[in-house]
Amino acid sequence: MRGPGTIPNWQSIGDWLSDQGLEVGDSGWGLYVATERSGGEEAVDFWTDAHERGLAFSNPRAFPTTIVNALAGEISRTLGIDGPNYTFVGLDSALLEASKQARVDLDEARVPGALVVQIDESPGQRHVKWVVLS
Amino acid sequence: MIVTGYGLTTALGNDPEQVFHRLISGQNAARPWDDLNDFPISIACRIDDPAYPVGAGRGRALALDAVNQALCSAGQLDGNGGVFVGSTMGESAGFEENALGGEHAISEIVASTFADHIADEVYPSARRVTYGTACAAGNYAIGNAAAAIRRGELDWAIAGGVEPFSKIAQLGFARLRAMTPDVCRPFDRNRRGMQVAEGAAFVFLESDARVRDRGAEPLARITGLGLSCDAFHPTAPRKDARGVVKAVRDAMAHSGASDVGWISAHGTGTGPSDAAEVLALGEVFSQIPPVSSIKGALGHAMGAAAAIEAVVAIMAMERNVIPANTNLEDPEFDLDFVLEPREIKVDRILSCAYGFGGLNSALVLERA
Repeated sequence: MRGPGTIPNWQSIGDWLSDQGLEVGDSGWGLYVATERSGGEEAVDFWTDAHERGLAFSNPRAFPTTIVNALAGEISRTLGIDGPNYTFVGLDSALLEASKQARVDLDEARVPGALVVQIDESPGQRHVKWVVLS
Repeated sequence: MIVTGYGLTTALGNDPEQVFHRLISGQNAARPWDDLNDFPISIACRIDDPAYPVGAGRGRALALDAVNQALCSAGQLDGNGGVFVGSTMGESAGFEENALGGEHAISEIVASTFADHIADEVYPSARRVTYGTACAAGNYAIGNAAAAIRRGELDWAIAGGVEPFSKIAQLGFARLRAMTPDVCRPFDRNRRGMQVAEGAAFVFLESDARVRDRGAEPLARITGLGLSCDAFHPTAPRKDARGVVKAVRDAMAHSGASDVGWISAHGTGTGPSDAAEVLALGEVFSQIPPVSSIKGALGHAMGAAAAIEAVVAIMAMERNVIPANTNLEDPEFDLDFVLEPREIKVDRILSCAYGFGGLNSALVLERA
């Protein structure tokens, strides 16, 4: 896999991947993200903030970031990946399943290309690896 | 890819017969909750059963209950098995408690805890796959479990979705102005939004050979899955519905079929999503079959929703009756909406589910 890179969690992961020089081809590419805990830190932050501000004043724009697949959504928007969009959750198994699904989709001609991204999270940071399969 | 068992627990009941009966009789699970009085909206579709714990661990209990129902006639589990689970957030209450000083281990509250718990309880050597794919997650789990069996990787699989009640979601959707303050009315001219729900639903899938060898009763087949991404907006659908069109077309092509007898719509009751869904169905089908959404009765159980709808679809085929689009009084769109439960023999059903992040999914289920 390419990388790894470490980025602060406020930075766009889509922009970071774009800066890596990867090229996403035709329409219909698949995205296969593997993560252990994406959205977890954001969920805690959203709830902490809601209790500090008051529920009626919580930040609505922060809520969608609490969803596990928020990063996959951001990557797809930045890179224009509009085919199957997966987020696998787990420790070691998630990357295995992401890679396996990408290979199956390529072999069955469901996608013309596949971007597999592994995201490990630690407080305030994301460690990212990626590979393009075609 | 044959379904031989199913189970579910929802705010309308905690077994399939009870839920289907209440759906057909027009009951609605939504009501206000005292512990949500400080929230912008206090109405939700929650399971009021002391058998399920409150707080972190609730999702695991809901999931295992539905799985055990699905395994009632599964026989001895052996060979290569898998557990495929979809969820949106995991044990949301665990994150809420950690924000207020709790110390739940992350491994016990992330979405993969559900597949791990199910596998540990029923078949520890099972392959464990967790889809964090928002409100489409149930279709991802069921469709991909069926595909893994079709490819010969597995003999059987437990597949579905689970979402314990999430106060984060109850607040977040309200703050996004996506929730109705009163009644959820999918496809109605006066629809005002969705209602947050909780639940779990699972099917037991087997290979044709395993079903034949043990003489099991086939209940339905999973024949098609289509997936796409709008790549457009974190929460809003594309107005041209291009992504939904692709997902539905791919599911139909995958199944080899050109028509269905009923469309179990995503139909959340939010303005843009319902409109995009109708537009997409018109693009794909020259004659749109009967359409209804059950979210007016059950609310939106997010990561569990598609799996709940898959179980209801199977039951509709078994019983030759399709549930109505609860609370639809003034349809905004000129479709054959199911306004009352309709007695009709349906051999193939399309079940649609979409989610945050621009996810679109469509699952085709057929009479066995």
